[in-house]
Amino acid sequence: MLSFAGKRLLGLGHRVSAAAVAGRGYHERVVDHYDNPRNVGSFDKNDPSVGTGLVGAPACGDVMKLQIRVDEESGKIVDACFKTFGCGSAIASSSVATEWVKGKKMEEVLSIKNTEIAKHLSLPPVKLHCSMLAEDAIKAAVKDYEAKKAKEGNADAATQVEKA
Amino acid sequence: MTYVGGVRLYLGLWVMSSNSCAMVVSKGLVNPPSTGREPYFVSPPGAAARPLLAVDGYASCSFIFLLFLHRLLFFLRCPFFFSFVFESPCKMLNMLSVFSVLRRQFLENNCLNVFLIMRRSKNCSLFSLLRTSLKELVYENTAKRGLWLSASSLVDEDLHLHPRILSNFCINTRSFSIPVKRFDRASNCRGLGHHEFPEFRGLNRFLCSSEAGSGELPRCWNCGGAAVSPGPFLACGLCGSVQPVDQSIDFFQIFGLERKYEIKDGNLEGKYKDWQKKLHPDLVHSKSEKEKMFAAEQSARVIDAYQTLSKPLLRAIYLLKLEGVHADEEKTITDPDLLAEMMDIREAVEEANDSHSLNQIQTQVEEKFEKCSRSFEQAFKMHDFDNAIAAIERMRYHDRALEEITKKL
Repeated sequence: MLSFAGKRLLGLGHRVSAAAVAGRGYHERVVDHYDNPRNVGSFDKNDPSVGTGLVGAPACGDVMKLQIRVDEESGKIVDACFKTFGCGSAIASSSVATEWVKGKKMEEVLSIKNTEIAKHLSLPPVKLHCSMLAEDAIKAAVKDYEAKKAKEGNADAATQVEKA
Repeated sequence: MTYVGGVRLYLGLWVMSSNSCAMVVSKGLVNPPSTGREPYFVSPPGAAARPLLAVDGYASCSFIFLLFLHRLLFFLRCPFFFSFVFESPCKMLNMLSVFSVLRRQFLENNCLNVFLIMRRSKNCSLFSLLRTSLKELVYENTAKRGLWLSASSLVDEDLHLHPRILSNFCINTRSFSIPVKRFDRASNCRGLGHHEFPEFRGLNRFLCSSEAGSGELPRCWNCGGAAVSPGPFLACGLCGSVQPVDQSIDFFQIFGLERKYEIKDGNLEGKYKDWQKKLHPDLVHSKSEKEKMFAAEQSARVIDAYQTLSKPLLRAIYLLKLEGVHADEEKTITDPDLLAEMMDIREAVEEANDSHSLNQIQTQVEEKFEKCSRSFEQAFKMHDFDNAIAAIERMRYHDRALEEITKKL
């Protein structure tokens, strides 16, 4: 009893470290997206209903292209596809982004955060910038579509003025 | 059984009690010359030192009482209480001796930690804490007494006068464990008259290594010789011992090159092999632990330098780092031209299946890489760091593409 008390006093008791040994490696969702790629492809860039987002991460030399096809009357995204050159996490992030973006309105889609993507894929801290890249790609695609629409609107107005 | 046990107990108790009494007595008699400002007990960060001493004193008193009780019970022939009382004094004494050992170790670790913190943070504000800790330890009756005496006088004299030296503090855990016998043999130390001995000067230099920054040449820790040959002081020219790593020597200095992007005729490989002939850990296999550690660190640094300087992209990034410019690597870029170009290149690489077309693409990409690196060189010369960073980004993308091509080939 005294020895036990002595040990406690001296702080020499064993510390039961309940260290959970985290498995190192890609999460199964990431592997799934890598093995069964969905929505890989590209649309015609010049199609007026298609918005293209092209982003890159200088740190790792990744390039990500995300394209959305928007239905003009309802403002909803009907289809999306992506093409990414980079690590498994980047590919999975963009794949997830295309899945989530389908069927949503453009304003809704802008509120998708990189933290949600990262949580969904259980990305380690070192790969968080991949999810950031995916979020930026979505925003860039929407911006590109808006710009196209605005240009079209201007062009239409110009032709109407010409005709008149 | 009980008789033998009693004898063992007696011997143990006698030894321990003399130890503890000596300690208690030494605490009382030997008082450091207090300057009035410093408390006798410096409480190390994070723990209260005073309770340790208090427990020592009280534990010794209670031990004496228990000893008396034990003897009494022996005479009264009470076996049950006898065994109980037999065990507890032993344990008490164990605690006592362990307390004293712990306290000494604690103070030693405290000093070491403070040294390390000061070195890492490169500031001298913990200096007074260190001084009091060292003084505290000086009066410990340890086998390392000689070392502590010298260390404390060093701390008093050298560091106090040259606080800048602290920025290049190079202290090794092993220095605290040099037994006094070796120290005596090395320096013939009689009391505190140790400044005239060259070996002690070596120790002096080791404890507070002055660098070229303070206006003098760096000196070898082993033989005390100054750095004579031109070039970085990684290994002593006189005795051949490997020196501790000096972070202020950058990679270009190690290879004797100017801080430029272009390195023609650098003969990197030859110089790299020359350095490894002096610094490789296999060569110091039979030397001291300290030197083995230095050799491991120095040769790792030379390997780093060689790898950084031999690749143009890494060299460019290192050059910018030396100028204090860090490219923000986490931001995403949306430069449509560069990205579209890279996209096309990567797609072409994906589609190309024969080595001929891959080689073609490779030469094209290499040309573009060359162009980017030329533009980096220009920008760097003009100190136009924004363009330099942009050039590095382009270089990185092309480098990545080249890697992919090489993988496919």
